Amino acid sequence: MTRNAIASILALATLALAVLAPARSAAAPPEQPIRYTHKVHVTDYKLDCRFCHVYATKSASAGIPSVAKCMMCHRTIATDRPEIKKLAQYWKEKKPIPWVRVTELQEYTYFPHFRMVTYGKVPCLTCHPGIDRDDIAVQRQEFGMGWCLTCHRGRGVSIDCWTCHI
Amino acid sequence: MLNRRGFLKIGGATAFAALFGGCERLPKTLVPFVVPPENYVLGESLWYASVCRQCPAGCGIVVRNSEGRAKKIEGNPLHPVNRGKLCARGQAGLQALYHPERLGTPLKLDGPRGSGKFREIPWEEALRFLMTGLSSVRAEAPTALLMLTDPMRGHRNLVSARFMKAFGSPHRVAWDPFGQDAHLSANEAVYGVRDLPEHDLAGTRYLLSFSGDFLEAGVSPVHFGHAYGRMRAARPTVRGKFVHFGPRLSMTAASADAFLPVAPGTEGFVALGIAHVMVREKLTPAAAAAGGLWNAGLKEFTPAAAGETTGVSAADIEAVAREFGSNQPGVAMAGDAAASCTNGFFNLSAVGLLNLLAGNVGKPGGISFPNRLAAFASFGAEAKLLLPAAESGYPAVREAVERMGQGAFRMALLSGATNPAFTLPPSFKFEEALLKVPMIVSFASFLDETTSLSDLVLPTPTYLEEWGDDIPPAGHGGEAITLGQPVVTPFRDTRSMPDVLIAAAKELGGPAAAALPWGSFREYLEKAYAGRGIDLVEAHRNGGIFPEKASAQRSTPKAGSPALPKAAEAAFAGDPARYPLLLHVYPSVALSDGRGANLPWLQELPDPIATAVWRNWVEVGPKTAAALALSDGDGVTVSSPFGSLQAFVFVHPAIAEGVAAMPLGQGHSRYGKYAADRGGNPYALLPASVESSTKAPARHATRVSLVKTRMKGALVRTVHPEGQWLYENIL
Amino acid sequence: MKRRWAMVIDMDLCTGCGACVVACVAENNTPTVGESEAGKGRLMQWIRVVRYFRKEEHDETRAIFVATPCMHCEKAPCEIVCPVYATYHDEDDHVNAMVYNRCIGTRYCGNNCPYSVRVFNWWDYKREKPLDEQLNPDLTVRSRGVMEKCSYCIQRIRRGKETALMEGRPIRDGEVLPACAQTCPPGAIRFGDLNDPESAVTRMMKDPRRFRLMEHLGTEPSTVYLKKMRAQGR
Repeated sequence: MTRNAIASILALATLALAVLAPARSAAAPPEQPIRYTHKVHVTDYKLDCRFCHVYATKSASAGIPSVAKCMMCHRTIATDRPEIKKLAQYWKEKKPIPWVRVTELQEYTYFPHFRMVTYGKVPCLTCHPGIDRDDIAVQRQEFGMGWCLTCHRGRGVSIDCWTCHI
Repeated sequence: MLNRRGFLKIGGATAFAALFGGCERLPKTLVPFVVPPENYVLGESLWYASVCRQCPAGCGIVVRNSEGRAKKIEGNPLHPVNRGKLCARGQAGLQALYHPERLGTPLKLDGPRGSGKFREIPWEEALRFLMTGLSSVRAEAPTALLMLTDPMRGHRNLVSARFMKAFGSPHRVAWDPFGQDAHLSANEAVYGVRDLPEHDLAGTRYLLSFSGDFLEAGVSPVHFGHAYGRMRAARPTVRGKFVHFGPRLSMTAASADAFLPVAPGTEGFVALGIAHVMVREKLTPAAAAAGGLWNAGLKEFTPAAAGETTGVSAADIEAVAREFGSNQPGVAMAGDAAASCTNGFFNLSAVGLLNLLAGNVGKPGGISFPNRLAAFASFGAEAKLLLPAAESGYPAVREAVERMGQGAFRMALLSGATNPAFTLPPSFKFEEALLKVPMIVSFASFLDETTSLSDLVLPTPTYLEEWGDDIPPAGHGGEAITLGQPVVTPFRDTRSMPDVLIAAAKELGGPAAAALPWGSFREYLEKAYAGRGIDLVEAHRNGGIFPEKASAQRSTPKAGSPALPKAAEAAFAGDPARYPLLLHVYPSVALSDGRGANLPWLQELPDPIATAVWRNWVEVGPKTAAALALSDGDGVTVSSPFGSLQAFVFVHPAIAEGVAAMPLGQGHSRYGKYAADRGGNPYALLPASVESSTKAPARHATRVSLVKTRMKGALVRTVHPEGQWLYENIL
Repeated sequence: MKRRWAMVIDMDLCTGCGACVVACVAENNTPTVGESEAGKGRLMQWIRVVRYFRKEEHDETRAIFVATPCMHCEKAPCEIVCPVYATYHDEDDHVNAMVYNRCIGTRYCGNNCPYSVRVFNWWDYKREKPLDEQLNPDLTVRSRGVMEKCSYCIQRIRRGKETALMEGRPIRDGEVLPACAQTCPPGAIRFGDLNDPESAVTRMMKDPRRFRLMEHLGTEPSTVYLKKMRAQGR
């Protein structure tokens, strides 16, 4: 095989692998409509995750905070900042903010947040590491099945296929 | 020229593309609430109670709404008619809601009249067109307005009635091919009450059914299905016996302990034969006291005589009569096939006589007549309009069609699922007559054979998106009111018919506006129920108002010895030499009278007996088939004096010989791609005959011939007709 | 506590109406295949009503309906033949589990099932918009190349378990019902936990009318039937 051929194959293979990699681990964080910073709210002001992601204790999905939740504080706080002005505009128009998904699971998996949070007492940062220190939220943890199983086995909870793959 | 390098590049790229192609990621955008609703957990579903309108039974339903979409319909456990259960058609309602061919904008005719070619127009233009028509008709000849609908009930019927009355036209016609005219008249003659009774199946010990397919069609299949379950299993030591007389082994007959084939139209003679034995042997107290009946002529109706007319052996009639007499409480029911013959009144009266002789009227395990009007007495004169009207409207339709032909109408308002262009006999020439009306406006969710003839089609929401109330015709103590509400926000640009009529009345002004003085139908409903001590919000949550205690039953004023019904034989059109078989048509389990044909789930539901999908068929017995040199699966042309169609043969092992049976519902020409061109329309074989006493449609009044024909394709069945698995093999 | 789900179908109550079939299709995102695929025996319904004709008293032909969902056999012939362990016996609930992501479409399991309850996705069945709005979000929409079958509505079992967990109580008998059992008008289909000594199905298992389909094969189905009765004589 010529060197060129090897190079092309390797390039293609790497490209394929890069595309197939399930998580965009530490890839460029997605651009959000408002530059919300977890660092300020969680690390500096010590807001609990569950204050905003209210459904994490009750539902399969943790939920993204509603515009009303943001406005609870930002009706009066930091109203001169440009990002807060954007938020106020959404509130004025009664439009929901179209946040871009950061954390993505594999397809065909069922992940009930409330079981982890309420019953498993798994800290949020286990699966969302470093998000409390992020200016722009990014997914760092790759959710391969092996990673999930290690924890499940360690804690003695179900590793039945149907627990997650219905 | 492709070298190795090039090939590997392309190979790698293809592989990479193939691996890439199947991926569907989760949605990229997450849309939160602006203001989260109270008491709501994300991902949890909300259940809304409403009413099912997939057939006239009016069962209560609860519908799962997940993030604004209807996901599943279940029976409402609180509803007295269906008690949390629901049939296949009810379950398929979701496909009507999300149907790709559902009308979403008003349509105006854009081609020759009756062509079904439309273009979409905005509501303003549509309403202008409607109002122009209504105003000019109102000004010049108000009686030239025709309203042709399916039988309505509840307050939407009130709105339509008030509209027409205030407009000045008496021509409001409701058409239901499966109307119960013969039942009403027979009940009036026999019991003195012109209404449909409740049958206490759950409490009976002996059920005699005469051509009544009550588990699959009829007035309330889910109610009867549930009651049947209770009859068999709710009492620890009583299972009950169910004997079915009928022309074919239907799904209902399959559940019977004894199925006795009878020639169509002879059910009354069977019943009289049974009555004869009951009176002769004084099997019940009422029978013992029926000497007058005996002398009036019942003594002539011996089992042997009945056997000759009906095909049931004398021994069987004697045996059934004795069993019925000695296993009281027993109840007798007659169904549509017995009613819709030319002698339907006689058939039903004879069956009613059996209930009188059993002495079960107003008793547990028998029949009773709840006072259905009592719940609505406070509505005054209009109360009757709220109740289900069980009539077919056949004479009125006939008259309307004649008038149409004479040019008496300038405008017609059509609505409802009973599709007269599909379900009326061909000799009515309905399409031709309708097109003589210069302006035809339809209120519809789908384009079917009738709505396609319109000049203007106004899209209505489906029943899952509408407010309304409904009174079920059977299955409750008489006072249940079901409340309907939207289970999803209507997502097409639709307006319900009562809302359009209210708006039209307002614009017409004068008495019309005064008769319908509300902002919307919903406002009217709230006003109507307000001040009656009803918490409407709570009622909507429950799905309706279901009083525990019913008012007193209507008393049956008929006392004394019952009268002997005047015997009459059924007449069948067609020369027997040319048309040797009697035609029996029945609403199919999946498609009902034809309205379910556009829903793929129902088309793909195998028929319980024939196990066929997506097409209809014609059934004959083995001897009949052999005599006609027909085998199972052959194509035949089925011809009556009125029409013909092609169908595949299903040799049915348990059908009365000399009978050809076909399910109704297929044969649509215009009802969307799932319904169209799936066999012939059996309604097109039917005569315009009437039941002699009531002038109701007599569907079972014609003969047919079957002639072998080459047909493309085959009937798709899930159970192979030949050499099918034996039941013993699976035990 | 582990559960052992079982279904009892009382053939004396089953009228053959097919409500269970459509309820299951609505609940489980089952595709419709159309007439020509149906002609090849490729209907996708997870529960089907099989109609048998048989000669009974007086040599009269009568019909009997056997509603056939997955039997959830304790000794399932389908589980032992899957090369990739896509189907196995769930230990928590004692149902036969089907994992769509693992399935590679050999169809060996469907071949081995004596009750023919397994169906295969021969195509990517199109759901024309907006019919896809009706899809149940609680379970996967299967793509081409995977086998599927009745799961005793595992998504409802799961929801029942979650609700019970959140309310801190055991699952009540009759609380978790598959779609077929919920809708059946005569109440022919009953469902419950055999590990619950008070449940209806535990009681019905002792009914002398109880039988299993093709019992001699030794598959030990969890779906059992109660014989149809016919009042004899006239």
